[in-house]
Amino acid sequence: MTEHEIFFELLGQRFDGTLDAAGERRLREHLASCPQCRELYACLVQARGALDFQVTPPPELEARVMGAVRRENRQRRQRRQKTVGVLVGVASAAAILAVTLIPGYLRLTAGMARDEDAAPSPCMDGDLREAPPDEADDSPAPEDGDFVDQVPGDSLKPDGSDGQSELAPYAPTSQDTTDNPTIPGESLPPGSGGEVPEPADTDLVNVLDYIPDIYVDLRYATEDNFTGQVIYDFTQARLRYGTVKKLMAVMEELREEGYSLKIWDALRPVSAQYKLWEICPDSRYVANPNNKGSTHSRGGTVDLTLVYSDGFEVEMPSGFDEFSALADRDYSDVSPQAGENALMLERIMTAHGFIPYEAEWWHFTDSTTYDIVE
Amino acid sequence: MTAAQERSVIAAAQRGDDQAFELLVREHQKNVYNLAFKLTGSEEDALDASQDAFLRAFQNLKSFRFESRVSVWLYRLTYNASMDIIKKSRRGRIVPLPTDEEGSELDIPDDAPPPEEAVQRREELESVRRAVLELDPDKRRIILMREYQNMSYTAIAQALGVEEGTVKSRLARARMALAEKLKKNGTFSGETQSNKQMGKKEGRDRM
Repeated sequence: MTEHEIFFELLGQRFDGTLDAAGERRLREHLASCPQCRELYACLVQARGALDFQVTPPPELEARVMGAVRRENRQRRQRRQKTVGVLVGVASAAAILAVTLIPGYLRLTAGMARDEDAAPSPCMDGDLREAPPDEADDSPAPEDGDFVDQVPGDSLKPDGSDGQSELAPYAPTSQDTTDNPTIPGESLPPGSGGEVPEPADTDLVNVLDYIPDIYVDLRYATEDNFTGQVIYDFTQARLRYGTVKKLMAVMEELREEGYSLKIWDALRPVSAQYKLWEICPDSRYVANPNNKGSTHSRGGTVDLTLVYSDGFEVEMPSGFDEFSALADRDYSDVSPQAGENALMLERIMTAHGFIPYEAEWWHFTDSTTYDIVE
Repeated sequence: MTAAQERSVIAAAQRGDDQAFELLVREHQKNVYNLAFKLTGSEEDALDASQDAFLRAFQNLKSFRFESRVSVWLYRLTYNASMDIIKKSRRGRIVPLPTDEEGSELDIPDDAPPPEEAVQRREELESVRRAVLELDPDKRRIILMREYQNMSYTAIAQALGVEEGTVKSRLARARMALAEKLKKNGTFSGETQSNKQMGKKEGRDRM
């Protein structure tokens, strides 16, 4: 061991506070006689000073870690339970059965839900029809071949939804007539008291006011959309309050799993639909406003994707408004992970009363229909 | 958290109790984040590295055998995650010095220049960081254990599988090597140059 090395061992003892008097003397003698070690010593002391601080971890660290952990837990459960899939919050076996039947149901309605084909029954205008309360389903156990009435609560009632009544005629039950309030303002959920009156279900509200942790990226308010032009003169994602309540229930489930939603498009007033149509007058891509227009103009339709709670998008079948075969709800042509994610989004949205649009994995319409917003 | 409490919390987390894991995160996030910050030199990278470390811990929780304290295990994971991030960012920028952007993350308004003291502190950390990263891995590890994580000689000896005496002599050599790098890199003064002058010279571009 060289003299310098011995010096550094003594130095270590000094740093530790264990250097005895003899050692201290030896260390000083070496320092006095060795300019090289003097310099190194000065550098080392300053370096220790430079490291002697503490930073406070940002609050999002814990949230991000736990979000990832819950995501991981969910994937583990999914791997264990492949056939049924994990749908948190669906309590009864009947409900689970109904949900697994939904993909079959959707195939029945394939192609019927396109915006331009939408044909809501004239008797089912939105402002008199409210979504049933989000309470536990007490409908009878499902029977084979009967897809419609098995669905829990308001999860998949095709009444008032885009053209679906043609394929699956909806027979109102006694429950519907009693539970569906006829006056919108009276449909306040329990626990909604307080100074500020809760909006009516038909009121248009800013989604972020009611779901502060949802992500909003209105693509048509920017040039980042398939037209390359700014379509909207607003940046708020607005929807009917009744629709927002359903999104709240979706978010509640997703939060527990470390996920969130990102909204790409919400209310698209008819004026904006005209602007889109002027730029792209092709009904393969844009619903013709002169015809029936878009369900987006009713305030109950939302384009969204699944994101992790930190806002990162999960893998999905395609980008937003990608008009290719990848965008439809046949997931056999995309990666298993993307298909699984899209299916998870579909299941959760469906369970809370949204109707998925077969041709676009991101497009969901409230099963309650509302009036057109000019 | 005592060792016994730690055992039961880990056992619960191993059974899939994510709230138990959350307790571990709360207990250790400060140390993990600090190590990651001192290694990567940026808040953003430190956050990513800490997240990676905890996630790897969670993924490998079942293989944790209680042979060491969780803190030591987490430090190793944090070190690995930080080094992964440093290697990646090196491809983009050769010298991982703080950029203007990172400089502005100091908690001060944009229009005011950062206080000289804060700039100097940042530069000193950066200089130590560079020197530590230049050390060969064995020396770097022992420096990290002692100077960054304040581990006891017994714990270091256990982690490295050597005698405590060996730890002390290795540490002495590692400190010497570190001091030589620091001197060569020049932010810190020996006797002849004023520390302040050197600090200003390094800082000119960013001010």
